[in-house]
Amino acid sequence: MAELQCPACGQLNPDHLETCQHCQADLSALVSGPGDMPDESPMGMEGDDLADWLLSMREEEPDDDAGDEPDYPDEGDPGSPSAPGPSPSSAGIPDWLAALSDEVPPAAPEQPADSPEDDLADPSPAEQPLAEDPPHETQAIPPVDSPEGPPGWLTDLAEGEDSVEISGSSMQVGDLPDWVEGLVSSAGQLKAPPPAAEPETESPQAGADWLADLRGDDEGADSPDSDQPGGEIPDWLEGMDAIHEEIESTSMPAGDPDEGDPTGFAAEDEALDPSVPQVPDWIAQLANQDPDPRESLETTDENGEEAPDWLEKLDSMAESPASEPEPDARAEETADPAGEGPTAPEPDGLAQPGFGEGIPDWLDELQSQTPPIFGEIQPGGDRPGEALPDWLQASSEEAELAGEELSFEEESAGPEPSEPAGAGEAQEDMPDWLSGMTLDAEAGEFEGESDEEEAIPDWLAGFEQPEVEEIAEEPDDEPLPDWLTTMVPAEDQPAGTAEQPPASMAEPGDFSPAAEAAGVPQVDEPGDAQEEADGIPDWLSNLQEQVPSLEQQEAGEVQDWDVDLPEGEQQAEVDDPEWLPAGEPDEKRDPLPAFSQGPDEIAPGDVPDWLEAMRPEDDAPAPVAPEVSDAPEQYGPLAGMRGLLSAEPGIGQAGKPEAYSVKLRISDAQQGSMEALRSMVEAETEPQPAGRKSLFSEQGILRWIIVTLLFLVVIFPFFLDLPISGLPPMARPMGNLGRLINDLPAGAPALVIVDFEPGMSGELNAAAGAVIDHLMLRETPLALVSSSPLGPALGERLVSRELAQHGYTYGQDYVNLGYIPGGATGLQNFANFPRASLPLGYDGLPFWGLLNIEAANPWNQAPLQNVGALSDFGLTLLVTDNPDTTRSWIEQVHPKLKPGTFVVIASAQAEPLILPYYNSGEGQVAVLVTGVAGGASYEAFLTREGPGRAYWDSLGLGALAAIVLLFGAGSFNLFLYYRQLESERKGRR
Amino acid sequence: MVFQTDADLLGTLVGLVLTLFVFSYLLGDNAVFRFTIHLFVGVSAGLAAAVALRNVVVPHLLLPVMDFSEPLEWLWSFLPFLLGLLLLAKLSPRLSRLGNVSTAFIVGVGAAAAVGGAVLGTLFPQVAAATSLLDLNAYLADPFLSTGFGAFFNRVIAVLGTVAALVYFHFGARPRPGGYERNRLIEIGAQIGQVFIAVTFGVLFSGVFMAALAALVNRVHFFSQVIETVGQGF
Amino acid sequence: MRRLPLLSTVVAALSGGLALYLLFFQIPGLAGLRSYLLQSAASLAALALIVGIIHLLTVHLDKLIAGEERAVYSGVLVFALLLTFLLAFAFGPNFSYSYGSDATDRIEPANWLFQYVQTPIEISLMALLSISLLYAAGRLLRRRVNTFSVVFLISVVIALLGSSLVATGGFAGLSDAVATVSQWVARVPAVAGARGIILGVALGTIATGLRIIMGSDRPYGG
Repeated sequence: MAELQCPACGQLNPDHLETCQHCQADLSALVSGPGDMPDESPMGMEGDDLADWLLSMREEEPDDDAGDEPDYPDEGDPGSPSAPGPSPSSAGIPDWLAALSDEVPPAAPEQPADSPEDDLADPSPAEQPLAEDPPHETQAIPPVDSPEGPPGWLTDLAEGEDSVEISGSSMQVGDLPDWVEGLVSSAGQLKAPPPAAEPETESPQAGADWLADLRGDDEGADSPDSDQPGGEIPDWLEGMDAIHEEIESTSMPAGDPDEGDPTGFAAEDEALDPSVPQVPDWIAQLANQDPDPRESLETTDENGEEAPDWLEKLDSMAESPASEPEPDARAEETADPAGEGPTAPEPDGLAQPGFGEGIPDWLDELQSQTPPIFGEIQPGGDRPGEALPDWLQASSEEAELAGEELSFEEESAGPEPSEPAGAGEAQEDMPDWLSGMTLDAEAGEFEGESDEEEAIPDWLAGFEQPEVEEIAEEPDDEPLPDWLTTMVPAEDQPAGTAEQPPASMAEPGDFSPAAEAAGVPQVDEPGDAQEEADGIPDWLSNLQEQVPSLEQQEAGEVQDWDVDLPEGEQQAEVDDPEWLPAGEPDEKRDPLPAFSQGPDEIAPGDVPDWLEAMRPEDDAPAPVAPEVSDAPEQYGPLAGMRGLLSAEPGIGQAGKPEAYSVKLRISDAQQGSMEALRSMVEAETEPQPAGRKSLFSEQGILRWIIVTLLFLVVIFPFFLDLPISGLPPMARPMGNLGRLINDLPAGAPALVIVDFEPGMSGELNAAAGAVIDHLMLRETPLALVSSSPLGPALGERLVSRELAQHGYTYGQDYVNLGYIPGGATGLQNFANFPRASLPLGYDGLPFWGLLNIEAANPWNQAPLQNVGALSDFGLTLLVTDNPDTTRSWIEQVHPKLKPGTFVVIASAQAEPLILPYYNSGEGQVAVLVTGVAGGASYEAFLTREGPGRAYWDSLGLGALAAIVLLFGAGSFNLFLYYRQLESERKGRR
Repeated sequence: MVFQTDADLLGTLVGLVLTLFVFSYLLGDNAVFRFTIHLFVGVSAGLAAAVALRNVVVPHLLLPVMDFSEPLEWLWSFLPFLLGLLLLAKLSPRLSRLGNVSTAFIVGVGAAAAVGGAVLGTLFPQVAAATSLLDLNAYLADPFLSTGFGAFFNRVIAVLGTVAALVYFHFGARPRPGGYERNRLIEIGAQIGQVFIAVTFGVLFSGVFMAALAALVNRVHFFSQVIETVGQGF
Repeated sequence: MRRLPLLSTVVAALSGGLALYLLFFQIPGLAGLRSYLLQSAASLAALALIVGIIHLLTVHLDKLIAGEERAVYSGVLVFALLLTFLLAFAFGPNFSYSYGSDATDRIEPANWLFQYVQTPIEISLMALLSISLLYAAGRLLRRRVNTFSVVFLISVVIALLGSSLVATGGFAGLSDAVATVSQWVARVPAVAGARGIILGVALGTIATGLRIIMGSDRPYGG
């Protein structure tokens, strides 16, 4: 690859050219930079490789399109930002491009707390360094050892920075390379805004709007990268990340992770990421490198003559220690939302010698409003010759100005979440130029810093010292605005603070829901930026024209920025980051150094009320913020700066954001566990075939012994035909029942409740037979009723079959009231309204006979003619096998009965639970006859023979056999039990 | 055994065969047993449905709605009829939710009846019976326990067993570091209550066995009668 | 449809609360309302039983139509159900049909089915239960040996002794002693435990009923 990409216009040039053939930009930095850098340097990318990745990016970005959903799992891969190193999947993607993907907005999916994937995956590595970061640490720039001196190209850069310094203003208008003009032309291509956006951009608020759009553009550009695994980070970028992370870990500027994304908007970024195009490469490089900011600045300036002036001012500002960024101090210095002007410290910083020389008016205003940013941006404040690129300073200034009014959430969703590399590793990987930066920083004002800090280059020290000074000057009480804090780490990136969360970017209130849905940030009050629009360079104005108004964004209008792009590139903008025309150097590939932006340039107190009001209260996880804040500008002259509004408006936002899936991603282990649980549940529901019981097993033999013995002892008495036992002991005096029946008034009916199942008829017929027989002997009218649907049939059978000898006739001697439904409800109804509750009895009338309900009414028949209430029954006899129904009868019906007339004939199985009512002392149960024994006893009382007595011998023998079998079977099984225990003990031994 | 009709003779034979079919289960599950069980369920369900329909549904739900002589009463009758229609919606999976209203009505009224019955019919009387040991009137009337120490002892046991059994069903526990732990007194009471409940269940089990044994005796007696009748040549 | 749960809850609460109120405060003028509530609920309960039987019928009809492996049993069930229902409903359960001039030439179809089909089967099943219970009690010590199981088995033996030939066989003092001990166990400690169980059931019933009336418990699918 013998081509170099112009950092300004992004087009390819032969490597032998020192200036861009398209824009006349200086390409010397590109030629010398990579060659000077060591291989392990994060920027260890040669000129040939540069062309490769450019081409490969064009080829692969379409594939990397986010699609419906970003590839979240890949983010957790080793290749994720947290784990530098290109992943296999990204083999075809240049490392630096992969790094971009990690740094740029797609970070949204990486945001651990908000994304569902994060719940499943390990916490994002970004959390780790951030978690370690002390919040609001005053030391903005950590010490970084860089034994190696800055390369030549870096020296040039330093010189350029110096020339850009506000105080020095060494860079003259005439020094602006030709390629800047090319940049102007390229920017002009972007001018044409969508028709709908034009009115908006032309409005006074355009200055803020376009910045917001730029930011949205960055986000859009980042989204495709979300799919790219983090392993695609180039080595040099990893080194940068490591450095940034190290710096962040040691010194937490205003970009406190806690403040990073308190709103939790990172989750929303996930939805936005897929829809936005990939971050331009050159921006990523710009964010991480510091090759020749002057060149990049020039490329962005439409007016080559003006650019040097304001760049010089910016440069001077950067050099001025007072203007150098200290996150907290900068926050205090931040201009108020109304854009009235900077806070007290800022003017001081801006008042550096040389400041204002050659600076346009508009830039003066901007500088007066946003000094701290430049102070932070400027890399070697004290070193002459090392200066932050003018354009970058200007852009950062404007970005900050706009940041007062714009929300940087989308950018804050930017990448670089996590670079876990330790400080030492970061230092080792630090390129020479960066080492020079650290050394400069060391030589700067950070005299009191540790040894590590001494290695900071002067220009980097320029970042640090101002912060320290400002920290001392300004109170720390005032919290830095979130959106401003995001800029701090970005500006500090040269010192390794790139990871710090630009919390301000994540400011939720900055965006309206519609804009969020569109993936485009919105400016809440862009009016302030309008004042600064006058001072905005032409190239920025052009960009403004391209950007649709924020109002449109709020309205959810589709971004038509692609219309502004050259023909044939619109689609590429959406789907492919390679939206730049083929054959032309991509701006994204401009290897401009990444300038970190001072985090604390805007004091928290300066945040507008409306912005504060919109600040979400919920705290997002700390790691989210850094990802969001570190998004480097990827387009236009702001490329490389972090925490800024993107210069490329709404790339990829032409269409509505692509839908992203909330599909749960689970690991293989979780999948396995889920399958195991599913199989267990299914196994429980599947019917298990009843195992065939062997008749000759141990238990089978026992079962057959029981069957044989029971049958024998039960059958024996019937064939013996002799009583082998006496009558059962009279558990309760049957005489009471006998007297009760005998004392019944003549004609007084008895209510016989047949409330048992047919299966119990063997026992209960024998138990109740004698009592009912006694009643029938007394010719007592009977009324049968039951709360069981089969009870009436049982009663009918008992009266008309078992005791058929009495010749009771239905309707004359007895009636069958039938079935009382509803349990306790029906019983209560029957107890209170007996006649109404059972108008039809259990009779033999055909169905059509039921139509004459009066004729079929059993209450109108002879046995019940004189019965109006249950108390009219002389006796109530309950034959039951169920203690629950017995309880219902006692509870519901007993109070309505004639006192002392409630007799219960219960099965032996219900007796224990009925006895408490019998023994209650309140006479709830007057007489209790239990089972066959009770029936046999009453038969004995009546001196009649019946089934009770006939069954008793067999029952007595059967009970005895059962006792014997229980002992035998119990002993046998007890023996088996202890044998099993013994075998288990042996097994354990 | 006396057969009143020829149908009784036939029925006796049928009953004998069906009894043998059921007893065939002692050899394991078999087709005859399954046939018998399905026959039993069919007859039982059919008879229950007929009884419920004739005895309740027709006179209380259908016939009142068919009587238009009294419009006001008809309206009163139509409401349960409507609820009945909704209840029939339970047969349709799609409309089954409609039946919840009717079910709610049944459950609501049933709950009221159960609560009232439990309070008046069980709670008060049983509490009074259980606390009879504390009835000073009984001691004043019989200060020397003329009924015998045994009676007094029995009353103490009755109270102790009742309270302990109630305590056994008290499952409240306090969270402790090692888990949940019941109060020590509650734990002791529960242990005592477990003994009483075991005795109660033992007696219940004995009663169930005796009831089942009575059924077995009934079947054996039935066999003996059939054999005797057959031996006598009907 | 969405508000049916709320409607169900309201219906349950209102009907239950009103019924409970009318139970404790029996106002003469509202006796008809109480009867109306109780009768309607009871009638609907009977209809619910019919609904369940219809569901049973449809399930087995489906099996029969589908021709499943054991559809023949479903056919038996369906046939028996329909036949019994028709006989009992159309002609009445006590309907007697005379097929001859002799007094013995008559049959009550529904009662016949009940007496000679259902009752023998159910009694036989109950008879099988005796064997199963004894077998299970014998195996109890195979599965666990603890205080509860030992006390349980001792209680069973004592209770059975009171009904066995030992207590009624006239074995001099043994029978009386066994009968006395057995009756004491069944009357004193067993009743004490049973009373505790009954009180627990009553308390549970009250709590559950009040929860239903208050709408906090909705077993009706609300």
